[in-house]
This record gives sequence, structure tokens and C-alpha cells, in this order.
Amino acid sequence: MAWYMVRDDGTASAGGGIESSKPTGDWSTLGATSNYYESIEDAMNASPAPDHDDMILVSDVHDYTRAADINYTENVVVMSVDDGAMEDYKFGAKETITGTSADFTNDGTFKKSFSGITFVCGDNFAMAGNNVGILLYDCNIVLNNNGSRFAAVAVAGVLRLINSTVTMSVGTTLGLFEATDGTSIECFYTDFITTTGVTQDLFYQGGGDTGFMGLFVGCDMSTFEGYIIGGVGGNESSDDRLDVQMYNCVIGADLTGWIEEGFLNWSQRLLAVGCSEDNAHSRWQFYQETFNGTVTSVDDASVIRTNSDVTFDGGKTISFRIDSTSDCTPWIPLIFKLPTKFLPLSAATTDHIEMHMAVETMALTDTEFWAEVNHRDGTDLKIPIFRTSRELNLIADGTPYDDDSGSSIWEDNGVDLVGWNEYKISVDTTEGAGASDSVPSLLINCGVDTTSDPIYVSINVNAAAA
Amino acid sequence: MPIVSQKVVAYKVGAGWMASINYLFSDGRKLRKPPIFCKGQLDAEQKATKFQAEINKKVVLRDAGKAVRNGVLTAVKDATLIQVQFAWMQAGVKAAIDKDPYGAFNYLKHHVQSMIDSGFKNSDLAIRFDTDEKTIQKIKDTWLKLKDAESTLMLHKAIQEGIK
Repeated sequence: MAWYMVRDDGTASAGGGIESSKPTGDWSTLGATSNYYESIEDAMNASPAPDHDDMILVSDVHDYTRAADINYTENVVVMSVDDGAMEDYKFGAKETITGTSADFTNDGTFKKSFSGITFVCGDNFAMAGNNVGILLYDCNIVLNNNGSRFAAVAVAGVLRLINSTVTMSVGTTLGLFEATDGTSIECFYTDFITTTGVTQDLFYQGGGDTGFMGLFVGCDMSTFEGYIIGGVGGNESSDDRLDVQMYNCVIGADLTGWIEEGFLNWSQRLLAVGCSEDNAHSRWQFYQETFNGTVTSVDDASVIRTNSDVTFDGGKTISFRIDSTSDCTPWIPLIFKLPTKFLPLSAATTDHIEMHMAVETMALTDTEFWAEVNHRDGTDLKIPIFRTSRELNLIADGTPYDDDSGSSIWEDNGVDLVGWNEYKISVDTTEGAGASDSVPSLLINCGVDTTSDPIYVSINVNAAAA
Repeated sequence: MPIVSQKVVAYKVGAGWMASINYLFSDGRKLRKPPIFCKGQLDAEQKATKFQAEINKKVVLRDAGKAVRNGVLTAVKDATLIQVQFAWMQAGVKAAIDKDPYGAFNYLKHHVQSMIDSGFKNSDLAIRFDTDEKTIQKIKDTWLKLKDAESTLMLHKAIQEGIK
């Protein structure tokens, strides 16, 4: 393992800036400026070039500026360290591209991580290498010009931001990420900030050549005022996989919508869980968008089943509202996963899984709407068992579900829903070896168009007797 | 065909609102816009109205894109001849970027040479095709490179066909 040293007053060339043992103490102990490189790129271009088990250590006072592209092209770890104590990690090193057209580029198949570094972009922070991997930990990426963005066109590449900040200082007006080629964008605990101007979309356009995936966990995304996915999705042939999942993120009160264009392909999905601008709502928020409709969680200001033992703060219960489209049929249903809890399915008194739904006018049958349950086998626990409430003759006329209006109380904003169809689905888990006590997986399948008559499914899933 | 009506339904979600929007076009087509955030029914209706121009434009682009996919060189549904021509040219540039020069050649061969021969300046062509001069130049450059390599492209294609 070798240590490649970088500070902006460095003059090293070839192997001049390489330390064979881990440096400690003040930067001055390195001696002459010829013992460290001027820039991270110079260190990557050293001879011998750094490899994946080497580290490039950059002084936290490093402040390097260039007007042209800066190219990061090695498998290596790059870290900002204390100029006064090189053995200590310290946020602070900075590399800047001036002007409005040059990029930070990450070509090639290289995997690298950067920690504690600020990148001030002229134009884009770009990645284009096949299978390239970039991890930015505790970094600050400053997009300094209108139109600057993360341009992610790396075949199966991964851009991962952890505990970092993206600062958009001159209005990245359209969108932050433009991704194609199957790139994955993963952000954990990362804040997106607009200091000047307006930032519209998180993802804007791109989406071609197998598309992109996005995963956002615990991020502050309140700066976006357009869409999470904008300008892409509405072209069936050229817009490929668009799969974005968000968990426990803050979104802005000014966000226009989750996605701009209706999805047309099966590989396209946006899933947001626990993401809101509102404190109470964030605890139970759920939204799923696919090509054949949306599923949105609603509370007692809308339609809910009041006799539910699954509650949030203040006794609030929720239901999932299904707005499916005419693309839904019994054979191409809208599918979503209903949250479940631990259920004592092994006992005879609790070996049926019950769920409840309500709809204003539609008569729901077991060919149009059904639940699929996956639970653990009663004897051999590792074996997953599949059950369904679906009519097994897929072409048969369906049987209406049991009327549940005698035991369920459904209300719309506190008003009893008189005349609505209130149903119960009961899935028997007793066949064969039955079920073990476990947390089952439950998929709701909606095979009808609910454009004019949304279906509401209670989050209350229980174990009950036959 | 423009939008003739919109159906907007706002519903409460948490402390705020969302709204579903469905548009009906004069030729009977329907388009669903994914739900938006709003402040209530009136706000949703106003937003839905604002979106109409953009939605109309997207429907035209979609029609033009379908024309290209179906190999149609004439006006189709809401897309005019000029819009279809531009869609062919954009498909050609995209194919070139996607490293499919033979495909790019076949997309671009229909209209670009006549566009160049017309003698119009890029600024005029940008107006004609509702784009910018940079895009026009990119289309021209891509075509001229491919045209210069036409015999090589055809040979390459023939070899590909031969080894299948």
C-alpha cells in the first residue's frame, strides 16, 4: 500500500509524491513541494499509478483550480486529511473548474471513493465509463452554472453519495440528474440545496439505453419544485427502465408532482415511502406510480376504515387509495405491496389473513381484484407458501367478495360512507402444513380501471378465524 | 388535435392535496397526467389548464415519434410534415450517438440533404423546426460524416448480414 500526497502548491511528477508508509504529523514533514502532487489528477497519473489498495491523501487546505476538464481515472481511495495532522481525516480539500463548459469526468471502469472533498463544477459532474463506480462520502458537489448537472451515462455504472451535500448555486433550472445506460444513482443522508435560482426536477430527461435506477434514503429533497422524474417516461420506445425509490426523504411543499409524464413501460416505477413536507404525513406516506396507475396512502381526512388496530400518532389510521387506469385488466393488474405485521398464523383461531376494502359503486369480484399472500410453511419454515384469493379459473366470471358492511365502518373525512360497497378478503392459510407465525408478504392486485371509482384498501391486515 | 376538456379530481392526502387529471382530445384520445400536488380543487383545475399547452406539444411529439417508428414520412395525426421530418432527424442523431451509424444513415437520408440543399441558414431552419441552431448544426454534421462514409457503411452492413 502506498500513499500519494496532494496539495495545490505541490510540484511532484512521476513517483515523486508517493510515501511508502502512512504519513503522520504536519504536512511540512513531507519536505519539499516536489514530494507531493499539485492535484488529485496528477496523483492519479503518477508513475506508478495508484491502485485500489493505495490512498491519495489530500491536504484539507488544498484548493486547486483549473479551467479545463479534470479527469479522475484510477481505482483508488481519495481522502481529505488534516494539514496539521495527516493521520486525521478532515473535510476541506477542494478542486474547482472555472468557466461553464468543462466537466469533472469519470471515464473508464474505475472504482473510486472520495471523502471530505468539495468539487466545484464548471459544467457537469460526469461519469461515462462502463461499470464505473463512484462513492462520494462527506463531499460537497457545487453545481455552479445554469444547466450544470450530474451527467450519468455509464453503462451499469454506480454513483453513490453518502452523507454529502449537493449545492446548486446558480439555478440548475431543469434537473439535477440526467442518467441513461442503466446507471444507478444512490443517495443516502444527502442534502440537496439551491442557494440561488430554482431547481426543477431531481431526474430530468435521460432514461434511454436501458434507463436508470435511483435510490434515495434519508435525503433532504425539499429544494425541488418540479418533479422527481421530469421530461421522460412518456415515450414508449425510447424511455427505458426508470426505477426510483425514495425512503424517509423530505420533499418540498412546492413540488409539482412525483412524475411529470405518465409511464408507459412496465419497467418504470416510482416508489416513495415516508416522504413528505409535513411532519405527521411523513410517518405514513406511501406513493407508487407505475404504467397502469397510482397508489396513494390517505388518512382520516379522506376514506379510511375506522375500526383498525393499526394506527399512527393520535390514533390515526390510513388506507391505500388505488387510482388505476384503463391499462389495468384482470390479466395485467396494478400490483402493490401492502405493509404487513407479525401474525400468529399457526393458531386455529388466527389462521386466516383478513383485509378490507371499500369502493363507492363498483362490485368487486375475485377475478378483478385479489390478494396474494406469501407466508412461511407451518412445518418447514424456510419454505415460502403462496396463497391467493383469486379465482383459479382465470377466464371465469368472478364471485363477489363478502359484504363486510356489518362489521366494517368506513368513513370519508368522518362521515359514514352509506351505500358504498365494503368488502372483506379472507385468505385461508391452513391447507397442507398450514402457516407458521411470521410476517407474511401481501401483494394486492387490482385488475379494474378505477379512474372514476377509486378503491380503498385498509392498512389493517389481521389474523382471524375462518 | 387540441385538448377539448379536462377532468380534474382533487383529494386530500395528509395535510395537503393531490389531484388526478385526465385530458380528452378532439379526436377522442385520452391522456392521463400523473397526480400532482395542489392546494385544492380550484388550484388543481388552474394547474391542469396551465399544463394544456405542454401536453398538446407532447402529444404532437409522440405522434411524430410514432411516425418514425412506423416508417411514415408524412404528417400523422397531430404531427405536421415538418414535425415528422424533424423527428426523423432527431432519431438519426440519437442512433449515431448510440453507435448505430447504419441506422443513423437511414434515418437521416430522407430529409437532411434536401435541408442542406435548400440553402436556408441555420437560424431560419431552427425557426422552421422549432429548435435551436446548435441542434440543426449537429444534424448537418452527423449527416455529412455518415454520407462521406456511405460505401463503408453499406459494406459493413453487408458483412453483418453475411455472418448472421
